[in-house]
Amino acid sequence: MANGTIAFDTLTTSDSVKTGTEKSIDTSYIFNSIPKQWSNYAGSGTTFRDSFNSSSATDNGTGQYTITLTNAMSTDDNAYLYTNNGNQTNEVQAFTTGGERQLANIRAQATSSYGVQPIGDGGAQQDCALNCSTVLGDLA
Amino acid sequence: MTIKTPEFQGTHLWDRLCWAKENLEAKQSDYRIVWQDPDKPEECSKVTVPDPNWLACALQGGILPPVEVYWALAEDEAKPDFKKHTRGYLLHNTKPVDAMTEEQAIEYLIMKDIPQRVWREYQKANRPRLVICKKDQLPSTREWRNAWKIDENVVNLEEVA
Repeated sequence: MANGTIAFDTLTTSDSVKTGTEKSIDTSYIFNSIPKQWSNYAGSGTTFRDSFNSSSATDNGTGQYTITLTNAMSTDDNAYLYTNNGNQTNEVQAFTTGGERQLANIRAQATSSYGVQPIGDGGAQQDCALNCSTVLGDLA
Repeated sequence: MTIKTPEFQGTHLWDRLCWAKENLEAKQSDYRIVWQDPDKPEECSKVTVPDPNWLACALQGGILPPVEVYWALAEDEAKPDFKKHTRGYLLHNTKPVDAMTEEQAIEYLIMKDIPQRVWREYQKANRPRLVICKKDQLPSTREWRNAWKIDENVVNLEEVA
């Protein structure tokens, strides 16, 4: 049925392919450990390529972006993760194939937004073509 | 083909976003919100871009909570003894807003994601501090990005080298 609901507290598998021993996991383990927000965006212009649970990105200046959430987190004590490819123009070029050394800072964490700062080899903030960030924690 | 939004009042907002991600087509906006924080006049202008999945929700209707809900949560978070949200149910239980036009969605986004000091009493400001423009009205190069300011004549952004 479209838009129906299946409620379950536990997932169980017979694991017949590998061990044949039944295993189960409480579904709260799954929900509590998945990212509650994620986004992939271009630094210059902060254009989203794809995302979930974001309402906007703000370009605060060179190498300074803020991501705002649609469903806020319960607290600001979450795991905010951010990475970039260290390249200003090429979203395909990865760190391991010649991108500059890059620091990826998280700043100004709040329940509904967080800031990120890519910092280049010379210590200055720098736009990056590929930025990925995510938040793990509890939703409000 | 248009898809009907289920009756979502009382459904966790995150679950609604899961439904939207699965059923709605993301919509990239041509609009950009350029703003200046009156408390930090030395800083360059900021540019806010709507999330395409969020915009799809706004255009669809019946998914997003009223913007006043976000203000209530922001008030709670601003309190000095804030530890965690205790009124998150407002996000989930308040009747969702109806479908918006893209322009209405941009206005909603301003009131949700941009500090109130920027857009409250906007008309009383002695210089423009918020402009909605099209993407191609922004400077084409980011060479002087940290010097972008809103033009006093509110026509376009100017680059101040």
